[in-house]
Amino acid sequence: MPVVFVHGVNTRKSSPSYEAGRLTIERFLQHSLAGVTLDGKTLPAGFTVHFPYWGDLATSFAWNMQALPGPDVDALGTGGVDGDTRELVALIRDALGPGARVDEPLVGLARYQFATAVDVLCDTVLQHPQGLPPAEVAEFVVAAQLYALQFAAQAGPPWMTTVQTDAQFIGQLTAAVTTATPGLNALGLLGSIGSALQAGVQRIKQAVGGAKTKLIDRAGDFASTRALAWGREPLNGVLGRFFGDVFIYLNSRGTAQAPGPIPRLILDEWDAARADAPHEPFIVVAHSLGGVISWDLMTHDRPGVDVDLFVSIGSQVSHFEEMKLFRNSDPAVPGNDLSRRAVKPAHIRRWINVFDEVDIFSYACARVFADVSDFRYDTHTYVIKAHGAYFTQARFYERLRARIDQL
Amino acid sequence: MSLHHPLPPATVELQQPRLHALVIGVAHYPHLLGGDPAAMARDPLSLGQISTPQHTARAIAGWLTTRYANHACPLGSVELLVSTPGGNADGTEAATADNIENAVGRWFTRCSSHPKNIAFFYYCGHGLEKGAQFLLPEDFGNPAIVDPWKNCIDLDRFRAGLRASLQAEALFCFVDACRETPFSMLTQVNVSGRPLVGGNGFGTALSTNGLYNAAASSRQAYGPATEPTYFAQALLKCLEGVASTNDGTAWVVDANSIDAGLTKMLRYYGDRVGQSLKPQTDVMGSTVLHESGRGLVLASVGCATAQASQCAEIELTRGAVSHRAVMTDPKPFERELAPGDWDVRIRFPNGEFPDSQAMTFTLLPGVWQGVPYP
Repeated sequence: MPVVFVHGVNTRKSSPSYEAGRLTIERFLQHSLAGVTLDGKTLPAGFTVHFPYWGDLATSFAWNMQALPGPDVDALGTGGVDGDTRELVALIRDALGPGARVDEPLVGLARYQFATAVDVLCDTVLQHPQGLPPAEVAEFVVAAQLYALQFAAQAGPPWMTTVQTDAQFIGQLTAAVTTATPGLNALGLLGSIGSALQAGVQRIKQAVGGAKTKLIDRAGDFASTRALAWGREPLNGVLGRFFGDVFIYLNSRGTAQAPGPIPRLILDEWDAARADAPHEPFIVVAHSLGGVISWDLMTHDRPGVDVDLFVSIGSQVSHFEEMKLFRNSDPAVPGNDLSRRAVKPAHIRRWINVFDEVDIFSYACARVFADVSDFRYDTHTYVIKAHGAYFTQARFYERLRARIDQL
Repeated sequence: MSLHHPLPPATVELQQPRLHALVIGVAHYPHLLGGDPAAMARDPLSLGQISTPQHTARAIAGWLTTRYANHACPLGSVELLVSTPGGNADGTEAATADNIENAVGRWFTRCSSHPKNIAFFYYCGHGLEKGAQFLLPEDFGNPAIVDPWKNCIDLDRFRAGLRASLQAEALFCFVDACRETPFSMLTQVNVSGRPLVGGNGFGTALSTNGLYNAAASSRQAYGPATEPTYFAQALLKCLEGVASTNDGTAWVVDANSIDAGLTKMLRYYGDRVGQSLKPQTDVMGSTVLHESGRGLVLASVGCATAQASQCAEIELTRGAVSHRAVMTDPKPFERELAPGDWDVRIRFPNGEFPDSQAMTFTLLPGVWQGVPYP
């Protein structure tokens, strides 16, 4: 039985980053979980990762979220810092420190924390792939992340000592991680990822430069970078879609006998996955609301099906249990004794729950459920960025594998 | 001194029609990725080190000095500049911007010494495109120079200058380089390069002016790391007869036949190496470049399916000449053939398919891929 990844809220195929993100997760999971053995069953190399996609069954907005407060006046000129990059700007500004030059922000960040600079670059190219084939984007992200992993405890690779500019940084990184066809020279760029990275660097530079001139300096207070990251605008859309998806799921989940469209889609994929590889461990990896849905399905719709490992990441399983929103929630627990824990059914053999304290959508589980391993993970990002950042960071998968091997 | 042929320089013939060549191969870029880390360009544009240009330049120069034939315009001179990581043991000059500019000056003067001369230019190395095409000498991107584009060649202005100023019969310009536009190049407003040759007139003395690009706009050119590029290999095959035409008196290769031949040859190489090789040419005139003395057919013969090819014996026959591939030989079966009528027979010794009758094909110079059987 192979691995099933149940995505969370805000996941839509219409997003330019969807397919590259999916492929990135698939490749990281295959790279990091191959060889995992649970109850004598082993995940082979190249195991299948199933992705039941339920995003199109989730919420839509009749006015395309026009109700969100936003600027009514267009800027005549460059717009400064957009919502998507505010957290990024804050992260870089904090890393560089007050008064630092922002002409080459990636190099500055890389000198401070090489792996984080690679995170920023990967995130930027995933969000803005510039029309590149998703497989090429995913290939670069996985390769760059695994490369950065080698230097996690250091200042970076030796070439960092001579790099002066962001362009040199992305060039050196590309050269280090690009797999050229053996014996073949191209009389041009090192792979097609180069231009997408250069566009990403420009985007970062403009964002950081814009913050400097339009916001930070005006406030005269470097701490305002944190305020930038916590501003309402970038949160609005995410929160709106989150609650929309929650309501849609709760209102339409149906029953075990007559499952609603989202449960039916996911259950069909689970059943197909288990039938395809019956000798492999059955592992459900679920993100965000995907964890909530998976728990609901495992405990209500498929109570007799063994799940060898359940991994919930950035999820709200315990939060929903506290609200007794699961169909098998026991309202009598905990009662007046807060030391009592909700029961993890025995057919869910193992459960690892991952959260980042900065991720406002993630919750710890061990004080609500019995028999769950909470795993704190620092994405080194801010607020909303943290919620999706787990899956593009090689060090996350490395630590997850270590936790699984300890079970 | 970059004069490769003849030596000494004083023996260069300037009073009679001659072909004068300038051949450049740049296989060392100290200021790009993989070069000197302490002297890297502020923006290396995602360009790294390449080795195929050194093999390319020497192959082209070697062909000119040993195989080139044109009774109306024999070989006059070959200027050769090659950049390699370790330098050139034979004293060949490096292809720096200044060396190229000086060599172009000497080449231009020789080319203009007789109105029936042929000017032959071949560049192999990194190339870029943003509106115009740019060729990158060895010292491109030197961070010690404030203008990062100072050591760059503007091919469009170079050709415009040649068209206006060169006093010769024909110009053959081969550009074996990529034509991509890195994003960070798009964001730069001062992209420029040296024109190398001045002149702004609308008129031209050239009756033939051919530009042969290894890559179409925004595409890449490729080559094996230890051999000449596919474009160079294709060109040399064209000159050896694949691009020959026959006016009833002799087999020759002219400006137009090279155009058609390169496209066929690069498609053939592209299929073999799994790369999309798309040349782009701009040819005016039909001056004969080379008297090949023969036509050449590059025949690549297999069956309609890979399964049938595996168990087939293939025989190509023309008069007393016969070529045969047995079952265990690699397919498609490749041979260089003389043009004319060839009989092709396909047999299946183990009876997987019925044997073919003799199929007669009239093969013309170029690439021929057959056959639709069974």
